[in-house]
Formats: sequence, structure tokens, C-alpha cells
Amino acid sequence: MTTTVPTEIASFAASVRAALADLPEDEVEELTDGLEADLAEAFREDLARELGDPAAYAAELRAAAGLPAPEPTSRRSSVADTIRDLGRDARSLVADHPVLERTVAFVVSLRPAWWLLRAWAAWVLVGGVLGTGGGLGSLVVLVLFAIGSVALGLGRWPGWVTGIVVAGNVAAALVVLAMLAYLPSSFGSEYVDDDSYVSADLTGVYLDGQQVTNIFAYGADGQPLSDVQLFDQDGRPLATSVPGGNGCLDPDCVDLGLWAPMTLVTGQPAYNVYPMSMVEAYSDDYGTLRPVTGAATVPRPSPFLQVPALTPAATPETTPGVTPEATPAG
Amino acid sequence: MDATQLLKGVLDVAVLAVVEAEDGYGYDVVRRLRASGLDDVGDASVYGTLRRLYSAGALTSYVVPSEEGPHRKYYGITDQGRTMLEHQRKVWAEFSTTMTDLLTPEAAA
Repeated sequence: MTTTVPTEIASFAASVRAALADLPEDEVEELTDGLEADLAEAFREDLARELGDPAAYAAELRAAAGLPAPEPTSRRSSVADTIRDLGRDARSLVADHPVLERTVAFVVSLRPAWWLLRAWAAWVLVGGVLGTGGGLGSLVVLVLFAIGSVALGLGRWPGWVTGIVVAGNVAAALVVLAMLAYLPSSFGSEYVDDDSYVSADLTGVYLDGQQVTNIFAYGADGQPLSDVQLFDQDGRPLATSVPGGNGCLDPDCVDLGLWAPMTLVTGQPAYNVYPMSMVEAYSDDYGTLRPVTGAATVPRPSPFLQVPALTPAATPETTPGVTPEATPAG
Repeated sequence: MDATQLLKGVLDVAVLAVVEAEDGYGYDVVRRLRASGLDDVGDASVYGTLRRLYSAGALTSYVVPSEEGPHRKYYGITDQGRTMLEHQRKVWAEFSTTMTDLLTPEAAA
């Protein structure tokens, strides 16, 4: 009997400690330090004594030490308890205030929008990680994400799935916030880009900061000239467009066109011959504009049918200059 | 009336009195309380009370190694514990006098 007691005491003490496991470790240590020795001594004095229920013993120990009783339902962490308590408090607060109740109902009704938003966030994230570009495949992935996200939102799931979903929601919210923070700056930088395009890429001709896309020349008589070759002060071709440069065929910009160069007798294309014409174009699979095969060049509408002629007083010097230019126009 | 219920309210002062008389370890305090007549005192209650009084600063504790087994944790009373004990002695004296007067037939008459 006496030889078996220490083993029983050890397991009894272990059970008592287990029943106090919700308390901080050092508190349990302080509370049960020397428990085996005390129990062993008690048994040596009183052989008729029986080991009781370790849980009841632990409860007595706990109550006498003025420590709180364990949560009856759960062994969850105190953080989880706190969150649950907060949730309960919030729900009762909402129930007491009709305005809050309606607001919450409204926010809850927005859940499907959130499901789509988080699908988009996941798509952005995955696209960023895998480096997938645009295109049909990427769009299919977005649709699949949206379907999955909605299905996830509609279903009821076990706790661990909910945990993953909560973590995913937090990640999605961060992505959305990051994108929101990025969007205004990207709008801004688009404007800046436009500006820097002006200063960095000086291809073309500019008037008061606005790009000149075409030039219309009129003779001394005020009549329009055609096929005028222009050069700047250094003899460089005054080109408003570069190969591939495009514009709109119609005022509403429904149809796109490519600037059509003229060809010199040397065989070289000339982009400095005005007014420039356009050829109807289409966007190929890679987004590059290509001229529609067989399409004729379309002259661009001139701003003026004619302009006032020059006064004879101003013409003596100019006339000889104008004539050779007007000649090729025939 | 159950003596165990009454004991709950006075276990603090009982434990303080025992430890003030002489430092003691857990079961030693239990033994002395029982020897004084508090037969029903639960050892877990005493250990818990010792721990709580220690946390409150009324007791101090020190470990005495034992040659035969696990070490013993001894408790001794602090100045704060003595002050607490003095106060509770007075409270108990007044309370017990009141109760005795109230429960004694001559006094009631």
C-alpha cells in the first residue's frame, strides 16, 4: 500500500495541474509547488485517507486562492474569448439601436459586392505573383475566382475553413487598400507621364505645348497647297508623325487611322509632306495598328477651305519663293 | 448550520494566526488547524489560502530542501500580515460578541 501511494499521488497531482491548465503557468507552479510532499505526508499520517477527485481538489484550491473558475464550455485562448465577448457586446449594442441595426443590415447586404471585390483582389495578387498579363486566360481566371468567392460566401463551413477565409479576407482587404492607395497616384502619374512624354520624347511638332498632328499650307493667293515638303532651320524634315503614329479618322474617334507617308523618288518614305493623309487601320492580335489592306489614303479635312490672300505689298519677296513650292502641287 | 460554511469566512484569519505562531509548510498548517479543532478544513482550501495571502503580501515564503523527498515551501508572516491579523482579530471579537449576545437566551431576554 505505502509503496503504491507515491505513484498514485504523482498521477493525482498531475491531474490537479491539468485541471488548472487554463491559468498562467507560473500561477499553477506556485499553487501546486510542494503538492506531492504535502499529499505524501498526509497519507503517511492517515492511512485510511483516500485520494478524491482531482478536479474537485483543483476547484477547491482555485477558489481558496481567489482565482477565477475555468470557462465551462471552452478551452480556447483568452484572446478568442475576448473577441467573442466583444462580438456579443457589439450585437447587443446593435440590437438596442434601430439606426445601427439598419446600418448593419445594409452593410451585410453588401456582402456579395465584397465577395467580388476579394475575388478581384485575389486575381490581382495571383496575377502579380505569377506575372500573368492581360488576355482571355487571365479573364477566365478572374471569373473562376469570382464564382469560387461567391460559393465560399454562400456556404457554411467548419471552423478551420472559416479561419482560413478570415485570413484570406484580411489579405484581400490589404490588397484592395493597397490598390486604392495606388490608383490615385497612377492616375496622377498618367498625367505626369503625358507631360514627360512631351519633354522626353520630342518627336513631332508642338505648338503651345500641344502636339501638331498635321500642317495645312496655303499659297499667297490663300488657296490650299498640297504635297508641301517642310524642313526646319537645320534642314531636318519637319515631321509631325513617326512611322506607326496614329490618330482618329473621325471626330468621335470610332475609326483609327495611320498616318500615310509619301514616297520620295529615292524610294524613302517622307513624313514631312503636308497635308498628310491617313489610311484606315485595324488593331491586330498584339494591339498594333496595321493599315487595312487595299484601303485608299484618306485626305484629312483642312481647317480652312481658303485663307485671305496676301497683299501685293507683302508679296514681292515671297512670290518667287512660293512659286517653286506651288509648282509640284500642280 | 454547517461549520464548513462558517469556516470559509474565517479561514484567512485562522491561517494567519497559525503561521504567526510559527512558520509552516502547507500540510503542517493543515495539521495544526485540525489539531486546533477545525477538523473539517480541506487541505486544498488551506493551500489555496496560503497562496492568496502570499500574493496579497501577508505572507512570505522560502524553500527548505528535504533530504528524504521533495523540498518544502515554508510560509512566514509579514508585517503587513500581522497588521491584517490584528485588524481581523478585532473584527472577529466584535462579531463573535455580537453573535454570542444575540444567540444567548439571557441576553435576548
